[in-house]
Amino acid sequence: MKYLSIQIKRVWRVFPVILLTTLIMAGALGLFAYLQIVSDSGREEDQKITLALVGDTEDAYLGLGIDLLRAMDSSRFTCTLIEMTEEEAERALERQEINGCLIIPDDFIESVVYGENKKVTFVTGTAQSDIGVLLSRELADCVSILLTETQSGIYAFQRFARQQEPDRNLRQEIYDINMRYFQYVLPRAELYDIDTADSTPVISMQGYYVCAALLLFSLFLGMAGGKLFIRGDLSLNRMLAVRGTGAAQQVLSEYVSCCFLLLLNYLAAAAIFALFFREAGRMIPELENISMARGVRLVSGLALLIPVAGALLYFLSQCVRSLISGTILALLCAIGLGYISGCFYPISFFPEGIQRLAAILPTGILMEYMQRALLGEPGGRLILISCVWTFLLVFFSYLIRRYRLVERTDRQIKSYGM
Amino acid sequence: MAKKLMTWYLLLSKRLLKKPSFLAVLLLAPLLTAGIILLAEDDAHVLRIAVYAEPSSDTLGERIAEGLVAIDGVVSYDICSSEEELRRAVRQTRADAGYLIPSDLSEHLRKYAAGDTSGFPYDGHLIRVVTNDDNVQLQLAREQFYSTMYPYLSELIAEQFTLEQSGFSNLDEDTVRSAVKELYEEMHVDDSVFQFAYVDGKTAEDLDDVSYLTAPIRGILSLFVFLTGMASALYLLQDRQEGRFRWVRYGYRGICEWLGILSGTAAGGAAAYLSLFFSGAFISWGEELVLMLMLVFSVTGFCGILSGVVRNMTAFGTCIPLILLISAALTPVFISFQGWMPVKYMLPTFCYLNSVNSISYRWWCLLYLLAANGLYFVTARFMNPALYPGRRAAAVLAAVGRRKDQQ
Repeated sequence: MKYLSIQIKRVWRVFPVILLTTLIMAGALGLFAYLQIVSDSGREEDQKITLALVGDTEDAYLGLGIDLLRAMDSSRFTCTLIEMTEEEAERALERQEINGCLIIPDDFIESVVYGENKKVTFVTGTAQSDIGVLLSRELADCVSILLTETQSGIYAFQRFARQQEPDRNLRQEIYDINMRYFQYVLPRAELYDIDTADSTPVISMQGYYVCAALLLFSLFLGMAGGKLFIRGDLSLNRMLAVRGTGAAQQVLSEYVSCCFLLLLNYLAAAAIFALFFREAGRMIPELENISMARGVRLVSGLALLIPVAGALLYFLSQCVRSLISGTILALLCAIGLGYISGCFYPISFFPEGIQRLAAILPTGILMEYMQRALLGEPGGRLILISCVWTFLLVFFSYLIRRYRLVERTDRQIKSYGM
Repeated sequence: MAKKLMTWYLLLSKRLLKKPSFLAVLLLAPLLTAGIILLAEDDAHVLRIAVYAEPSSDTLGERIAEGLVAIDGVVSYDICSSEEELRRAVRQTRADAGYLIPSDLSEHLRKYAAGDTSGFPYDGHLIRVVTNDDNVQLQLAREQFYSTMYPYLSELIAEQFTLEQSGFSNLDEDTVRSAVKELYEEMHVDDSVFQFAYVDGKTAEDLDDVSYLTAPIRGILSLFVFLTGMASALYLLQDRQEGRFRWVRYGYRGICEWLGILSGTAAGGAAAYLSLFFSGAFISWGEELVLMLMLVFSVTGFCGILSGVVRNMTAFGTCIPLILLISAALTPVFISFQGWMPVKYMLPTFCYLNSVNSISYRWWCLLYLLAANGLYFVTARFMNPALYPGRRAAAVLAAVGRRKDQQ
């Protein structure tokens, strides 16, 4: 008991520094996020793919085409087109203000008319290809099909007309068939009936990423406490073991103090959440119009995160003997486990095998549990599996500590030649 | 002097590399890379869509469903055997959406091409989309569906337009349709209208092989190098606390501490370089080496400044995860996040990741590493106690005391 109170005192002593640093950094982050939200026009707008158009928009046909795309085409709901010069587009790409840039060659329309199809260059950003780039590419493939199939239809008509009446002037007819194709292609979204009548509630993207951020925040914050739990030298612990505070007692006391550190951070986060309760409701659909009582229930429900994340972090701190290794290991595990548990990409983006694996990992279980808690659904078996994981991780920590307490003693006995 | 510094560097590196746990942690970088590559070998998709074509003697619906399944991209399509199965898949979130294709689709399309939409089966619409949430990605997927159905519709539009021309009214409808159909296939334009390129002019043909699951490898490895730098700086704070550099001459202390950070960061950089080599994202050994060196020195400079500003170990330990979280969010590791440019420019990982395909960012990266390391040495010099009269006196007295002790 005395060892436990000492461990809690150690945590309590460093907590103000951790809290202050967290508040300064999180405050700066929050301020930037707030400014970002305030300055943006809307969430739906943010999700759209933004493409720059580089080309001679003075060209009557091209200008008309762009205006039609912007005003009438279904793609205006998924894609925003901005006219730019090549230099402006390059700068915007470097500043990541756009997802890509379409460079239209000077005589593109003429080449399309004559069936030569000069290529439009799709320039992607400077960094690695992310989902936005891959989606833009899929969209480009679709647009390409629409264009080439339309061309095929127009050429087929032209050839047929020429076969029937070789001397006929087809200028008006070609204009008409172009307009006919526009009539069908532009309002294509009207072909779909969107049926959401019998669907079950699913978590929104914002809600999903709140869960992911909370989990990552807990795992990453544990690294801040690494200094308290990573033991390079166990001389004191050995002495304590000799005096009756065995490995099990030591491990349990340290684990509880690790959870205490997470709990303090969690309470601080909950207090901040309470301050911005209304703002949060506006940004996260699941929290819209929820009562204070449900808010308190939610915060207490999500507290399951503490014992499980605490056990994981404590176990990792027992696997290493130096601060540098411990910090790197904790981060790699946080990133690795976070990645396959869906903290960075939604879990549905992963192969089924990984989804099955994530479903049994402690981080994956926590992600699922938090989503259910946010939707107001019961945790069910997830709570039980979390308890099993917590027990296993603490038990393995105990085995490591027991081994390390004995290991050095054996070596010392040998070195003394006893 | 150079020899002395080299000896320092080797000793500091040896100190780290002798720790089995440090080596094991360095090995985790290639292991993580291998894990992600293995993970990407399985089928993975951004969206999963269930498709059900109502049974009919007309096989067009089935052909479209099969065409969708054959598409190799970020959206996956699964054919369902009944509408109930499709709805169940959406309800249980096994599919993000479901497409119901009506029976006799050819007939519906033929009427639609003739301007008649009255017979559309789903409340006046041709296709029913069952979904839980209609987002931008699902709208994009619908564009893909339309582009699969469009060749059939386009052909019918051409046929219908030809039939409507007064000059051909004397011709038999079936003759016109079959002739236009034949010409449509004969005149078909197969080439894609788009070609892909990076901003520095290089063609981006490798985009075909890009998986969004392996795309973050380079970003994760850059975060790994950043972390090894910050962990080394944390270790340096411990060294300072334990007085490990106390006996080094004041003038050399800054550079010795810098070498301490560099030793850990360089080891992390070597592990990341090795991992990149096996990742499939490797450009060429020379180019990658230059980029990695720039990252290592940028990180060393950044961490050096940070270790000068935040001198409390607990506070520094708290800064590490927060800075890494900010880096993961603002640098294009997993997603590209717009805005916050001033903060982004301060992160070494942002400069490094953008340098891969941009020459101008390489220059920025070079400028960054010079500025960061220059600033570190300036701050180290200003924080050197030898420069302050009071501290200088105390330092001289301490040195005299030490000398007396030695005597």
